[in-house]
Amino acid sequence: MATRSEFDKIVRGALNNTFLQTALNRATGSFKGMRTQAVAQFEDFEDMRRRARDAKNKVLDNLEYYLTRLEESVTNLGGKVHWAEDGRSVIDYVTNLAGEKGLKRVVKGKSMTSEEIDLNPGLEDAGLDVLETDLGEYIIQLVGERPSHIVGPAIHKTKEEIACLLEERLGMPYTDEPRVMTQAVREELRTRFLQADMGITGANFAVAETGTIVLLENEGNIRMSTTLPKIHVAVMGIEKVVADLNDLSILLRMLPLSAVGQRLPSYVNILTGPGRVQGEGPEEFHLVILDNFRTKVLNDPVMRQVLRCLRCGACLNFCPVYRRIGGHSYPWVYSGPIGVVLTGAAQGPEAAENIAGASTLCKACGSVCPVMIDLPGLIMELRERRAREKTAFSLTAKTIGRLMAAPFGFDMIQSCMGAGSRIVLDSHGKMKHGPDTLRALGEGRVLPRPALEPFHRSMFRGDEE
Amino acid sequence: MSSAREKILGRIRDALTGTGLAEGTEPAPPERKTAEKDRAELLNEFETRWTAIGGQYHYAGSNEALSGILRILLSPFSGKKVCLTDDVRRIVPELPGIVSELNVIECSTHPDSAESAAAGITSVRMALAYSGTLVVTSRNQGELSGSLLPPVHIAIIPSDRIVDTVGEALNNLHAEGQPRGAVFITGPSRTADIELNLVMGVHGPGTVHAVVADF
Repeated sequence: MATRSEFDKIVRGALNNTFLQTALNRATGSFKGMRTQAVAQFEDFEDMRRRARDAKNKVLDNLEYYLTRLEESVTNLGGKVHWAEDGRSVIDYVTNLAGEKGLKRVVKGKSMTSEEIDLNPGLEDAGLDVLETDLGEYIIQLVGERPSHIVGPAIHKTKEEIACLLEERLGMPYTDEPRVMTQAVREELRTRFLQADMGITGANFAVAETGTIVLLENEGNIRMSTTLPKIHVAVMGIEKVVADLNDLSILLRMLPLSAVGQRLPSYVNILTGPGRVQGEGPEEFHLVILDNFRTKVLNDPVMRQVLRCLRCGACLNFCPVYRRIGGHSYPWVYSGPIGVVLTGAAQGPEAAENIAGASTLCKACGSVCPVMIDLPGLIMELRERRAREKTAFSLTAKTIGRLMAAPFGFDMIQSCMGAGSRIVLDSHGKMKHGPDTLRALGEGRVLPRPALEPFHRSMFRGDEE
Repeated sequence: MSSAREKILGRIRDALTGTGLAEGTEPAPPERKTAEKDRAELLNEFETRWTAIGGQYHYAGSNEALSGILRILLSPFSGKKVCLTDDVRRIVPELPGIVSELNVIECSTHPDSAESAAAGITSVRMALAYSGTLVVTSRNQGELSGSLLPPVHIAIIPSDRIVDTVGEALNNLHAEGQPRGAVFITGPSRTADIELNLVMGVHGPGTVHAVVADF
């Protein structure tokens, strides 16, 4: 975990990186604008958010039922279901599966869940050849970085950096023309798709009623990964289950609208069980249902609602903090307001302390969330929990607490404030003395000057007279 | 393996005894029924949405017009390979004639050969007015590969297959017994991963023609 000074250093680095500032502004500004424009076409958008929220609440409130129902549906279709408590279990399952069949070549669709459990390094350690196939993820994988945005993993890379990378790795002549670079990656990956033994994807939605897995994308790499290889493995968190096609219909619309203002993305893959005919479709379908931190969050009645998250990234695009510091300043793979809350809920308030403290509490995130997660409220909750944790151990806080609880102590501290403020503040309420941290807080602010005599004392004196 | 299952389900059970999420929240009003649209309105909306996201649109009001459009669309592929699904052959019986007349080489929709085709011609199971979307399924042999692997996709859409909403499309698929694979195609394959420059045709087709057959 990053200490406060490490965190400050990372953030300062991001703020001083002029390209990153331009890139973040361009990407989030564009995503934001497209969402706003698209959403304005729906008179009842607020009702749509409520329906999406209800659809997720319904399954989360009855999660055992819907997960076992999903398991049954997938099994009836001839698919296999694996329950994984953590990332290790997913890696072992896929490794064994590949080992049994003597397979090596894996193509992957972009998935935050697989980032969360470090699936790629795990599989590579086991000797598998794992290839990210979303253009942004492919670039990130080549340089060994983490995605910096849920929807645009490589928004922090310059086209010159990408050009150098492709020149080196693909042996193509240097060009920073995005069209030419994209074409080169298409050709390179096309061969790999046709040779792949296994496709691994996440799952945006899994329909309990039908056993259908739904995957949204714009490039076609997920279509490739789920059409060409003989084995398809989908890895989903327990919270991705949806009751039926009716609920799918609202959630399927809300995700791309909130992400980038698309009514639907270029491709929505609606996959129901295995079946290969003339080279199309997987012979085997495996659904991995992952817990990792999720039941822990479910067990926290306040934080529980973050499990509604669709991973659309709208809260990132609208967050004034994310828009300046970027995804790599966050402590975990999940960034933006949802990242703050997921980190705090999964790893404890201390893990999210610095980043939650950096929130401006403008509440923009809460107002755009398609499933109405109270992100600002939960960020405040994390701050409070952390403050409580810290005061529980701090002698100063305990002493002040005790003092303030007693009438004479309360009176004494108030008197001190009146006198103290006259030393620290000048006549205009500007801070002129005192420790640097206090002065930094007072900078640009005009502070009130407490009376020399506390109000309650003069009031009581008045009564006596 | 089953123990992980029991542990996860047990933890879920423990977590949810007491209160759930929906507790105390006013449920959302049900979805408003959209007014029934006639075919012309659906066609119109489909065209607007489809062209807005970069799809090519063609309207054929008669069999002759359809043949004419296909001749124009196929003429650049003279001497090149094009794959056709059986279903599109059935819907447009003139198609094989046009193909051979233009000296276009027909090939199979099997991925091994569709992969090297210059264009894929398929029908669609449905089209969706809400978003300007084509629906292809594994039910028609070769429709998934033919609409994915070649750089150009030409889709023939009988106008009575245009539906209004996402919900209708999902329910229709379900009513037919949920195909193994269905894909909603909304415009060309696209990416904006390099400094947000929009590029068409990353892994899927960069050009998609929707030919509406309305007769």
